[in-house]
Amino acid sequence: MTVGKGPKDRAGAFQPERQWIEEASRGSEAAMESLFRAYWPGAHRAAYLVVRDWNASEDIAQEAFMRAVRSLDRFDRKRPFGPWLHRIVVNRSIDWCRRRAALHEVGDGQAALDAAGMEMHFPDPHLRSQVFEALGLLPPEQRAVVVLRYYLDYTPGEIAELLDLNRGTVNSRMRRALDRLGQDLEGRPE
Amino acid sequence: MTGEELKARLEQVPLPDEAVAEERAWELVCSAYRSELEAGAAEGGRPRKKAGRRSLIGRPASKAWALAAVLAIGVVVSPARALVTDLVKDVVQGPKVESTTVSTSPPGGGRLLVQSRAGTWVTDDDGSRRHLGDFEDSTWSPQGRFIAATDERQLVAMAPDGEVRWALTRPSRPSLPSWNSPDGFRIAYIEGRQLRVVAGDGTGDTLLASGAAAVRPSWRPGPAHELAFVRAGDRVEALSVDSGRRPFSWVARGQVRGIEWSDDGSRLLAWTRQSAVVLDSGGHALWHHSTSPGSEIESARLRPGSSQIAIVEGGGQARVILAAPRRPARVLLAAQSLANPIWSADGSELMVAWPEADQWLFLRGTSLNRVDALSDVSKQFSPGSSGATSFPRTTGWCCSR
Repeated sequence: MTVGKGPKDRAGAFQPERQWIEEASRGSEAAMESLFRAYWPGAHRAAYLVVRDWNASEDIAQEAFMRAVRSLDRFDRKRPFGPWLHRIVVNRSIDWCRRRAALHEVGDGQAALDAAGMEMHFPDPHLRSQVFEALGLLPPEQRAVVVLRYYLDYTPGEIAELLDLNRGTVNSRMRRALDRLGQDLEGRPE
Repeated sequence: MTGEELKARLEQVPLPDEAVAEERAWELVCSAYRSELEAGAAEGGRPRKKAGRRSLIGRPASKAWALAAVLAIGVVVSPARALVTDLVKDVVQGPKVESTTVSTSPPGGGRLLVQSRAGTWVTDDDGSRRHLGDFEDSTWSPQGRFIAATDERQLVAMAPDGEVRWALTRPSRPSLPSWNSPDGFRIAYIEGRQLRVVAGDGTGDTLLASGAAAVRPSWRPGPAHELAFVRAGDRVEALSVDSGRRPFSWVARGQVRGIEWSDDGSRLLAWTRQSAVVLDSGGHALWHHSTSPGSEIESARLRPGSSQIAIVEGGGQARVILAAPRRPARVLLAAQSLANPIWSADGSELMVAWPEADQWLFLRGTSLNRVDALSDVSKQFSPGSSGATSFPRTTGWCCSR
């Protein structure tokens, strides 16, 4: 199953997204579960890559799906579900990062506490991905653009639409992010 | 590095508990979906539209529901008034005791936040009580305008009339909420072994520390958003939530059962099974009270505006003790079971639970020598129950008006 924007299965076959939404809105729990299973991994991981907090990422992805459940009967079935869901996930993730920064919780003492928390979630430090560490050095707005482009496969134009930005802003964020990631990751195998 | 390589790396980032998180989320989403279907069926159509920022799955704590649940308690007279009098005469050292007509509300006024098996309740001065929902724990906001409550998956903020303002859904059971004073901008809570904080408007949920014990964190009153919590059972730590500064860490002799900052923020009370210790704001012990052999401290509370502590000791006969620095402790009450001491906001009244008699006792007066009782407590908070009921727990006494 793809984790990207499209409703395709592992073999790349098209999945009947519109049919799921239609049937789910008529009461088919199986259709609802199909929709959930197709989109949850991508939504959860995208949120995690942006917020870097597994509890928060789960909350954000859950909240997006809860909104989907509440909006099923109003959802425009001519529109694809993925961009609608990912818009919520990524914008909420950016908001979460901004609020977290507003709490000034990245001070020296807090960094130590965060590190302690991270150790609990990742007992083996080798499990920490270098790309994850490198992403953490980017501002959340740049992380979001990278995740949308390279994880969820959106084009810069689509990203601009999802984030309510002009395309030039998306491109400049992308360039700065890739420059920084390139410096941090080039020649360093995972 | 190519785009394909970057994508591959992003897909390989370890995501903790990925499969478990998916099942948790599906359980929640499925539950919400079924609720929507049921609501839609009840309305004769498709899944209903809901307003509001976040959903409450199966939660009956809407304003309308809560209003419908308002039940007049009415004034009751304690059938055990004579028993109270005898009890107090037997054990109280010195104070003149006067038993009075019992009221459903605290004699000095204010609203109680109560936990029973039926959930969370709030009482009012007019003798009414309101069921807020099937929550497991609760706390007042500093001015009593809101209540934070928890259940197995959510932290919820609501008005005392039951109108939910926001709800934060968590992957594990949140508990022991604590709302900071005086600005009310932060709520701390425990989830598993994590100490977490969320802004007063429900945003910015953040992990503060790991290894936290299941002891309610306590905010130091003041603008600094400084929080005390218990780590690893015996270590009391102070943490400035906004700056990350850690003013002190203090290790107790034994497992810490509870902590509480004084209302002026100058002292922190911590109690273990065997002693209650008062620390200054730098974490240095000022004085302590030790239990007598065979006794253990069930709970302790600092008296607002005073250096005194009310301590409930258990083990054999239960006692309520008033302790203060450089003074002998004074026994206020004794009975087979006493619990849950809580001071009124101005420190003029001490409320103690007496489960054995199904009563709340209110000790009043400058020497706390006047006792009023509120009877049939458990029945009042277990509507429709015909069998044995458990005695409710008071989690807050707010804001005398």
